Amino acid sequence: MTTNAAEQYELVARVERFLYQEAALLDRAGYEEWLALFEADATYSLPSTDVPGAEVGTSLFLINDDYQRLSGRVTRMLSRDAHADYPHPRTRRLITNVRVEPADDPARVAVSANFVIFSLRVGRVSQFVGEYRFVLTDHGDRFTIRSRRADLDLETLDFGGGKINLIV
Amino acid sequence: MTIVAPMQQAQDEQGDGVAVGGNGQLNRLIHEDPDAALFRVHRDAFVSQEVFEAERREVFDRCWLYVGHESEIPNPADFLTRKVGGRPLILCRDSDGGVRVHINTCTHRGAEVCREARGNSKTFKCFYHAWTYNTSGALVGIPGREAFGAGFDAEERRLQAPAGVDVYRGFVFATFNPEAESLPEYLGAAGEYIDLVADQSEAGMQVQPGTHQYSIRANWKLLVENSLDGYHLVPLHRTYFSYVRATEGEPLGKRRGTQAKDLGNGHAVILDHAPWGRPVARWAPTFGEWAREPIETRLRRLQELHGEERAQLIADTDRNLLVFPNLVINDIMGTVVRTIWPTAPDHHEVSGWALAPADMDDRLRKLTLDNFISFLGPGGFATPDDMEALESCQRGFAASREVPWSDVSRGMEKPLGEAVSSDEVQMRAFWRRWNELLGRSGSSVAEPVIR
Repeated sequence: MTTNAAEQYELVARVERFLYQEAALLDRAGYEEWLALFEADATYSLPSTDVPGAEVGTSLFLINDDYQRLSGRVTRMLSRDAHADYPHPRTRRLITNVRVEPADDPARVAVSANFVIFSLRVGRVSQFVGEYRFVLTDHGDRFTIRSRRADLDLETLDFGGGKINLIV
Repeated sequence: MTIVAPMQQAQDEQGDGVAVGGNGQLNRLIHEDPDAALFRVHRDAFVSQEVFEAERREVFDRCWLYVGHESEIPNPADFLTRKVGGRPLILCRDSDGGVRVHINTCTHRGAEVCREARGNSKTFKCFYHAWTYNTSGALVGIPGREAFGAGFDAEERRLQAPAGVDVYRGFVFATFNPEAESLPEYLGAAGEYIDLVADQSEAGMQVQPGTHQYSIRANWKLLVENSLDGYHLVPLHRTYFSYVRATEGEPLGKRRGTQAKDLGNGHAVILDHAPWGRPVARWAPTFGEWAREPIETRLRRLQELHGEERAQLIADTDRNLLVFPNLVINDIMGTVVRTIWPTAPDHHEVSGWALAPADMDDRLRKLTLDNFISFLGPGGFATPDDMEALESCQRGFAASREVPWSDVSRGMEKPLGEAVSSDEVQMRAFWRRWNELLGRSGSSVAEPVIR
């Protein structure tokens, strides 16, 4: 029991470290390094604000990327022609309430966490608040991302400055 | 129906100078000089509080406004609540299956009788004093009814409705103007383009769950212009086209035969054959080989139902349609139904819905939704850049005294019917109608100096 508790404690600590490092990458616009965390069949999704918790494929999402589109998104964000993203906003991500559960596959973990993101650009502060749901593959010394979704608590994107010009 | 033939270009691109109709001053915001092929909009139109208030009176209180789509309330007693023209409305199906629009305010003291976004309910019970209405709007429950006197008529106290409510091909509209023309008259030639969207499937069209609910810190008319702007596509959306090119693995095809039309009454459309796939029904390699057969089957069915020529218009032609003043139906890589509601001179709210054939299987529906959000919506590869451009224009308007005019002249010298989507005849159609309506206003705005 104590071993299990210690293992669980260690697992949560590793997941937290991973989430913090991921947030740090995004906060310094290290998008290529960030993309390298994803598996080849990974997904990144953001449901519409009026249907939090929606299943992919049954409703209109704001973002529903497979790896190819996510890779296109990163290419876009690094381009000076991504006018909404360039100049990049200054962002600060706060991640908390990290919960780690077993996933269907024993090599994976299901992670939930709360987030607040402040984004500052052209004299305005935008705020995104919500919950992350990750499925991570545990390679022992590192994690890779199988799926990553962000369910926003915003009722409309107005509070978030209107548009998604950052990785939520 | 003659979609391809030139529509009667309203007023034949002939304005009559600065002052068009009316005796007010607001109509001095458009400067049109047909001889010089110049059309300019004064930037006060985008920044003035007075214009903003006049628009509410002369545009939004007078025109037919889109409320929602029948498919959003498929069953008796289904309802949704929505703000339309600044008013809180309930769109619902009554117990007989009829579409109803009620004004969402208790006739007793004013509280909203429905405070949920959507649902199914046989009654709307005010939470304040428990007056209760049925789905037809009749007042069916009044606690302590006997305490009201002889002059109290419960029939009069039913939920009120907008002055006009009508449905065109599943699209529900309302007007707050008791003198408004009928909806079919109001839509005029724009109705034919709604038909092309509604005819995508014999099973009908469905608004998909999930709403893109966003906002732009810019004047609402900038989004109207942008929604019909073929000129900006290549320069502004370079990253989207790079992405399409990379995923399609082939260079973009030459865009064939674009057109821009003034449909009269302020409505307008641009037509295109753009280098992206349309799940209804133009297959593209990026959809995957599996999707080729089901999409081509849909195309064949459209050909059987409507003939080759019309099927081509439905399936293969991209169209961006404006139904004046603020409904956009862009039938492009996805079909977006978009409403644009001004909240302040420099801020507006946008709702975007995805419309898709009701008879698509789950896989094709998913493809349709995914293709939609590749470009469209506030998390897509293109819409955020549009939003950025509009906000940047609005920031530029801070110098409207020094730089007072925006130019909307492109393609003005072209003969009737030869306008292409990168011309601006479609925007001039909007602006002329807008100007005509504001010209009826008695209010006065200082006449801009033409430089």
